[in-house]
Amino acid sequence: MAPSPSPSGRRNGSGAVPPRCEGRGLPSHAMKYLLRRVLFYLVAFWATITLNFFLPRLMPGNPAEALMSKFGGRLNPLALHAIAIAFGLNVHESLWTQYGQYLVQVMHGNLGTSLTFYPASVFSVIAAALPWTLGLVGLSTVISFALGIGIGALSAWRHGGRFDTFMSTFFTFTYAFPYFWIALTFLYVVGFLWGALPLSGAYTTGLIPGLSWSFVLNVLRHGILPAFTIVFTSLGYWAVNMRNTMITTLSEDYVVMAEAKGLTLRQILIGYAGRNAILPNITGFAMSLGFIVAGAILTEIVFSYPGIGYLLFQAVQQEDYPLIQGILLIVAFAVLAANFVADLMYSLLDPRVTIGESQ
Amino acid sequence: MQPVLHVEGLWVDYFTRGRRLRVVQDVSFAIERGEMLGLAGESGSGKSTVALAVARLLRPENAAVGGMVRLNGTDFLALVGEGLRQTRWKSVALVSQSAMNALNPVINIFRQFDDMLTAHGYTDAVQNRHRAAELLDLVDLPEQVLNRFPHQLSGGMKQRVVIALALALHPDLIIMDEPTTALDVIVEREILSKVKTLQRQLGFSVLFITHDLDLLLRLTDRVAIMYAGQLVETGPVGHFSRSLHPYSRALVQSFPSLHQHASDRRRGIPGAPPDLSHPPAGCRFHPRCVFVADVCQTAPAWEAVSEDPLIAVRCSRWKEIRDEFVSTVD
Repeated sequence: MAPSPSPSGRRNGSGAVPPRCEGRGLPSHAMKYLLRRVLFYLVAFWATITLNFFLPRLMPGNPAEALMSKFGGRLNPLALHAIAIAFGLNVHESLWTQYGQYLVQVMHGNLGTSLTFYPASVFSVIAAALPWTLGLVGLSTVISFALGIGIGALSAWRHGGRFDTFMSTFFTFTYAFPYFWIALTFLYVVGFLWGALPLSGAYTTGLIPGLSWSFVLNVLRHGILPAFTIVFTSLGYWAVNMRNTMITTLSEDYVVMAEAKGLTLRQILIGYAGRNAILPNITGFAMSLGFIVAGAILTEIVFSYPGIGYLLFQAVQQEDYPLIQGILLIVAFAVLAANFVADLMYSLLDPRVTIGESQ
Repeated sequence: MQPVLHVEGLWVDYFTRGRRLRVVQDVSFAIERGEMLGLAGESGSGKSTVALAVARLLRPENAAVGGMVRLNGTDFLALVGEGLRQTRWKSVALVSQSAMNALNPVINIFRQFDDMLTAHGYTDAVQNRHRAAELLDLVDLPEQVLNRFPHQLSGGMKQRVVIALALALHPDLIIMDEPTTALDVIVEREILSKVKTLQRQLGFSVLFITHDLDLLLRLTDRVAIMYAGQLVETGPVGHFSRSLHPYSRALVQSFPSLHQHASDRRRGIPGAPPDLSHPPAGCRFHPRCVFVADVCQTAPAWEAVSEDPLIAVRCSRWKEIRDEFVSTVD
């Protein structure tokens, strides 16, 4: 019953490389994939614009009536009519004509005139608020994601250990807190009682915005508290998610193999376990990147921060239809763009993605 | 000459839901230089746990390991931290169960050679590429495979890549844990004959783990059989046509042979393997054993039947079973 090896062995079947496409780079199939995605997002954006146009018009009442009830007692009908025409609230044209005009205007970046900030255009109002939101919410989202992924990965590596037990309990705790309560508490304790940080705004009123050190420091001091509350409450989400995907990944054969190969802890944690465990979290991260533009409404209200969220809040209060529509459009655009970025990130981080699509 | 691997009184406890479960008990065996030892047993008998324990791949928070594991005379269980990491793969390499998943899906094949070589101090990427290409050539794969990702390779090719990886640092011992389970029989035969050839060329030792006893009897030099966390019998391949443990006998008989009439019925082993949290008192096989007697209520010792070649058995009645063999053969 001696084993019967055949040393010559035939080089067949399993020995030949199937003529498949080369992994990465940007050959024609990758371009095709990219073009397909771009086309998909263009269609999705058109659908968003269309919905954005029709939804308010499906609601009972119309902006013109809202405007009239607002000034009703004080203005004569002729003046009201003049205002309605000035704001494009003249509803006597057919819906399709209006839709056509709307599409053309949006393409030109003309989102109408804000009622609240008359005579400023919606575009300029949003453009003024956007940098504050991107800076505050964008930075704290990225910090929160990076920290959460790191903490989650470490918790998973020694799961059941002391660090993991502490972190899991702590994050369940912070994640369960209502955000406004945390924000108000920090504002009250650190800002009001202790007086260590400013209470509201993005910079001290009266300061002239510019690229001087004193202004930048002033902005940072105003940003610390709102940024901290955002990171504090969202960190748990990333950490817990990363921990869970990481625990699954750690029991994969290739991670056991990595340890057997004598790789360093760094190589295993980052290159093998982390690299694979982070993939499912990319989608969530991209989604939240998109919603950065929406601003953290609660944060911006609590800290009176002049971002998009606070703007939306004001617009809704003032029934400023053009502004509301404008903000919704920008948010939808950002979400779509973020998803596109996620697609690109996937094809960079996971070689199976583009290749799978191209076959 | 000292054996490449010497395992003595190895035990493993798993921690499950706050309890401690002994899944491997009193396992002793040795593998000589250039020898291939086959370890067989049913699912859950603890054979893969033995492999993981010997390779130091059980996590301290999940399992405790005790006893003695000597690799080339050095106490492998005593190594920790950086010392352990540097010894890995040089002394003992692993071709793991389902090599399908043993390769990192997001990096190409070359980087899976390169990261390991780098971790062991070979930092010249050009030389590493050369070395990796040589290793692939040993397992009949072309150099272009280095640029592929795992999902672009067939199952057989992935298995060859893993074997090439295992050979990289000239290990004394390669543990193969069901290396061909997921492959079809033709690819399996190709790969196993390749392993045999390489073993003759390079002189490494192999611990080969499978539930396929028939395969072991054709492939390996010696076989050890595991049941319920313990070794029940070990000996050279030829010994198992007259094996002394009732479980090994039943196991051998439960495999069909090619030269047999289809009408001959295979005999299974009645009953099921025991729950390890409540193993049967005495001999662990006695509830399923056809030779059971009163003496089986006390646990049998691991007893050497002969020293050279080493044959050992864990059965209180092995002498009677041997004598019965002699009488039936005569």
